[in-house]
Amino acid sequence: MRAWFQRRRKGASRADADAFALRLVAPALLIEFLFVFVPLAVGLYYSFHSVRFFQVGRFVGFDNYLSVLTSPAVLNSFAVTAVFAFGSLILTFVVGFALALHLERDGRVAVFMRAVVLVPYVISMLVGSLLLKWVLSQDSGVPQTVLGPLGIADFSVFADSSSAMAALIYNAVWRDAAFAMIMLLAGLKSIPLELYAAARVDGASPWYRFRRLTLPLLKTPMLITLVRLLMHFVNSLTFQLILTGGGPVNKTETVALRTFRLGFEDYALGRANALSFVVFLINVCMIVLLVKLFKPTEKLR
Amino acid sequence: MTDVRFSRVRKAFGPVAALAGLDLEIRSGEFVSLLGPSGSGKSTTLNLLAGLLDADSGDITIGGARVNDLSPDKRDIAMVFQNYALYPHMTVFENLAFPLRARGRAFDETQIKTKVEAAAESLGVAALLARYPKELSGGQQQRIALGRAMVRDPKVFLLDEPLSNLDARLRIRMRRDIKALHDRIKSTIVYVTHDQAEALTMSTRIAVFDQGHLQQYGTPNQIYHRPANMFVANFVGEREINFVNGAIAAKDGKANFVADGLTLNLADEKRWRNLRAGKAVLGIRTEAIKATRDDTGVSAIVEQVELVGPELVVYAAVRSAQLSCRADLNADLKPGDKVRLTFDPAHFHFFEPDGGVSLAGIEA
Repeated sequence: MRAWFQRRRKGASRADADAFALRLVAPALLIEFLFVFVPLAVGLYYSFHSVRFFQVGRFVGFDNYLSVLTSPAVLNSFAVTAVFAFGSLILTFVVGFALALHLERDGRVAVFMRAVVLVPYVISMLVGSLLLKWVLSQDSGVPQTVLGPLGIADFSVFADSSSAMAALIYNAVWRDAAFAMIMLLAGLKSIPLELYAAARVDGASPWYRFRRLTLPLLKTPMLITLVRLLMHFVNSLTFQLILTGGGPVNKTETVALRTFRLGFEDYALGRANALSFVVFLINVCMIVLLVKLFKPTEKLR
Repeated sequence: MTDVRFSRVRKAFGPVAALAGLDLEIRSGEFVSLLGPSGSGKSTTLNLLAGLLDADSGDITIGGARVNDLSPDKRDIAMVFQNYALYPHMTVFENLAFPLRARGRAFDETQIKTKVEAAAESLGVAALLARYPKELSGGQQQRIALGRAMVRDPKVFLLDEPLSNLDARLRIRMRRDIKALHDRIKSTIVYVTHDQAEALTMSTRIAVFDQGHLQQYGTPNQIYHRPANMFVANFVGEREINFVNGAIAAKDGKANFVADGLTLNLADEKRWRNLRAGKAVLGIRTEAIKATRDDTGVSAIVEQVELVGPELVVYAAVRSAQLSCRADLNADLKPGDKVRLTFDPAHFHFFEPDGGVSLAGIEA
């Protein structure tokens, strides 16, 4: 980019060109600064101080971090998050991939079905989770209609820890499979059809074509989808807050919900921020891991 | 026996008939070009033969066996695509080995290595085996695509406009290379192109398509010199052919073509034996009309002059008609000049005014 500038503006010095470039990106940098770096810095500052009801107290070093990392509730929330995030990630990805492959052709039915699949994704997360909460409720929900004849009408989805987690994961898959589908569909569409025609003539079976063409050529879209889904599932709050409220007995309380409660129910903003930073670091590590996982055979892209 | 035969093959896309009853026979070892404008049915024909499309009716046979219901991989064919369709995430070696590896464990790795290297060697791309397609020039990619088709020794090669993405000069060189390749391996080749020059230079026979119909099937010589109808006459040839509306009439016991400001004697040729008097369209190519400053010939006025290397192409008006003709470089013609045109009767073609079918037999 800079080489282009220098060729275009021969008289201008390098410093002039840099100043001009800086002016161009300044608005974007300003927004980034105000809404990302400032909150991050404030959060980091809080995490090293004792904070009570928005009153910033004394510097406490790593006390907040030690406190959250030794708290049984927080450790429980990490375990819950791991189950929820990886369960949702795998199922969402598989379902989204299957949908993308199934609805790839631009038939009238396929286009209509894509729209249907997108409905849970385009309605607000809050509304979606509230709807599911009603659908699964003990008094008037679907489970009673199905389970009633079996004599277990008093079963409550949200009172059992496994079924509550299942409901939570179901909520996530139901909503975000559409996102995975759209991302992977875009990737599939970018693979030229001639490659598949060539492979068919070359004698490749459907499975061989999928393994040797589709998967390697979708590597980048798959990576982007996985990273975005993972971040979303680790950080999302709405599912747990609305659908299960973290219950029963905190068995579905994820880190995001724990952080929210530390900050806005216990007003322990110092510890909440410390926990946020721990999650932030874990997220970074997971992204690096995923990128590494996808990198080795990707020699050229 | 690797001849290819289409009998009464039809294919429609919705209401559009892409191919309306094709009968075509390609002999073993022939190089046949399917020539036509876009939407003429030539690519449909190739895809039907490859098995990438299914025929609505009719039979397609390869080497005597009906292949309509066989999937592409069971037809023992290889195909080269217009944009090469090289697998971008594989090296040249892996691309060339793909057809060998895709069929399960038919070949072991040493066999694959030998075959791939032999194919690469014969196309002069042995040094590129470790590269990726995007690191190659268009011409090199083209060769790899050919190599991938060759590596399996298929019965029939299908080439779908393989040269159209190359620049003009390289295209002319690749024509010769492909022809030499055909002379060497002697496989049956079916070659789709919209470039009449490619078809004329490489083929043993050409099938000309228009609007889903086979218009003419013959040797390049027949196609060029004895076009079956006005479409073929106009589509084949470097520039548009001249069409002149007029009539065939007898005068002094000799046949003449008469049009506005134009009376042409027909040479006493065998092909005119069955010609009847009546309305006709004369088709004559640029190179069969010469514009000079002589005193004999049809008078005309120069309207435009083009330099085409060794000679000039002159657009000259004869009354209401405009004819393209050739002239010597040193004739130094300018728009507005008066010239005389001489016609070569050996290159006359006559067509019916309605329908455009040739009035004389198309045998040479």
